Amino acid sequence: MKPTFQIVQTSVALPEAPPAHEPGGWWLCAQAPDGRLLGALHGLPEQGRSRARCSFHFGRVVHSAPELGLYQVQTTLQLGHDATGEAELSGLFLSADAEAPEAVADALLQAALARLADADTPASWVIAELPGWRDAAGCSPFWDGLVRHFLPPGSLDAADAGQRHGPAFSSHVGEMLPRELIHAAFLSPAAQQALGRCADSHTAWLAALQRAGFADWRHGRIEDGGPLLAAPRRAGARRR
Amino acid sequence: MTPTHTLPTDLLLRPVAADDLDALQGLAAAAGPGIGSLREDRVGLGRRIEESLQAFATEDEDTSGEERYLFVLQAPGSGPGSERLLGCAGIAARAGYASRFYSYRNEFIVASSAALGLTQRTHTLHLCHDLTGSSLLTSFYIVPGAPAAAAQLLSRARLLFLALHPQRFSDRIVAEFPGLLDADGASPFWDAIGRRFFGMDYPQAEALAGGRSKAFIAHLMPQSPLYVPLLPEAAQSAIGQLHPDGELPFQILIDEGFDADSYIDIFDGGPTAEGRLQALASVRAARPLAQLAAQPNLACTRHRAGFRARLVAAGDAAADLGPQPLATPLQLPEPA
Repeated sequence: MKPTFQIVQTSVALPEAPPAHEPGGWWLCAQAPDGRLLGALHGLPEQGRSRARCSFHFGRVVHSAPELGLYQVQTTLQLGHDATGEAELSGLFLSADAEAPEAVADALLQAALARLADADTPASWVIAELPGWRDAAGCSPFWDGLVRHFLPPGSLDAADAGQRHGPAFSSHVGEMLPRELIHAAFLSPAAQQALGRCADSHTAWLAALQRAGFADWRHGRIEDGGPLLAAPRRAGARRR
Repeated sequence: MTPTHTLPTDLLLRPVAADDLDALQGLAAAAGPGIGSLREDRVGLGRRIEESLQAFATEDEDTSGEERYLFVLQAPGSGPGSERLLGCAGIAARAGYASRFYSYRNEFIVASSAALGLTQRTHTLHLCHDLTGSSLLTSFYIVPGAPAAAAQLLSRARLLFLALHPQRFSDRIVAEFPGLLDADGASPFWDAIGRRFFGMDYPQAEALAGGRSKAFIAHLMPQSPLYVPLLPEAAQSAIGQLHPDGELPFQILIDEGFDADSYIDIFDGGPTAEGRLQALASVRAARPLAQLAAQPNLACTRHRAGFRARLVAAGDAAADLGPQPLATPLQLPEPA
């Protein structure tokens, strides 16, 4: 049976959905015939206009000493603002009582990509950040293995601070983190495994983004290592 | 202060000679693996002796910085030809000659966020070549039980030699000291850093580096700073920490005014001490022996050829050290 909902655009923030990462842009809502909100996302034609948007680039360096017969490939993290100026999808929300969540997510993404393809923006990519993996206690191994070491001991409860500062928390944390290359080998094994790994709560969105043409952008969120995915912005125009 | 009547004035510091090879090998065997520049390798030690003979024979205008000098401390025996070696110590004219001399430099970065109300100071280690071209004190070893004054003679006579021949050396003097090892001989610093990039045990890598320029290390070690808080606690604790075997020579140089807070060894995190020659206590206090005759001294000949140094009791003119020996007080004044 074909799901019945309609996609509606609004500029008003939705209390059910996570906050948009930056002001401006628009919301798309999937509404059931009875008015229930089934899903939502926020589109922004150009991110990084209101605050510094930080991410870790996951790269590689080769350490080679031919005379010793040694050759090693190392994963690296480089803090930067690489996503600045790109378009963004955030505020990703799917209602627990949506009858066909995949269809809702697919429809929202298709509509959002179409709008962004037509937007007047220099962006080449549409970026979507997904929260990073957490353990059964809700703790981020990436936070514990990396971020925590660059804050005064016991100074900050990540959950509380995240709540208090909202999406801007990421920018504030970025001010505390190293600007130079970090070799992933120096992180705890759990933190290394969390690089670019999506939270279990967002696997439905991960799958939907991949169906919509998003791919791993080799970047991670600075607070929990969650993946950044990207799709060519103009691709949305071709899919209509 | 060493009483004059117990001063071992019969100990002689001199350049190593070709027929010292057996005795030198014995010292190297006793020294163990902590002193990378003194390995029990007969061929290598023979080469060291050759290099030293050549270095002492090279005229000032022909020096290149490649010279490596090796001194030995000789105790008299029961008769002629029965002398024995109590220790050795060396100088490399230019660290990293024709290549690079690698160290980690301690630095601190401060990050702050006004919005979070936080400021944090973070310890970092930077792979650097800062000490390339400095003159390097090497290969210090003295047999256990040797008199304390003997260790002073062995280490500090080198400083007088440097002061007498400044055109052959840098005015920046450095010395590497062995870092902490655990009970199994493993280096926590190495295990946390070097092993990740070399994939081998510390002794194995140390042996690979021995006698090399260490330039190959650059190919495998991270070029970016290491953030110390990311290292295991054992490795953090080992940074700049001294192996007990290095305490004696380390303390002698610290008393001279060497600074050991800035650089560490890239393999085991042991301290690297550095100082400016003219600022070192022995060099500042150095005078013609006649001007210091009222106290026990450490004195040496002034010429490179046939260089000799020994402890000299108060009132001794030390005629055996040639005209106007250069001396420095055995007991250095307390720092101001």
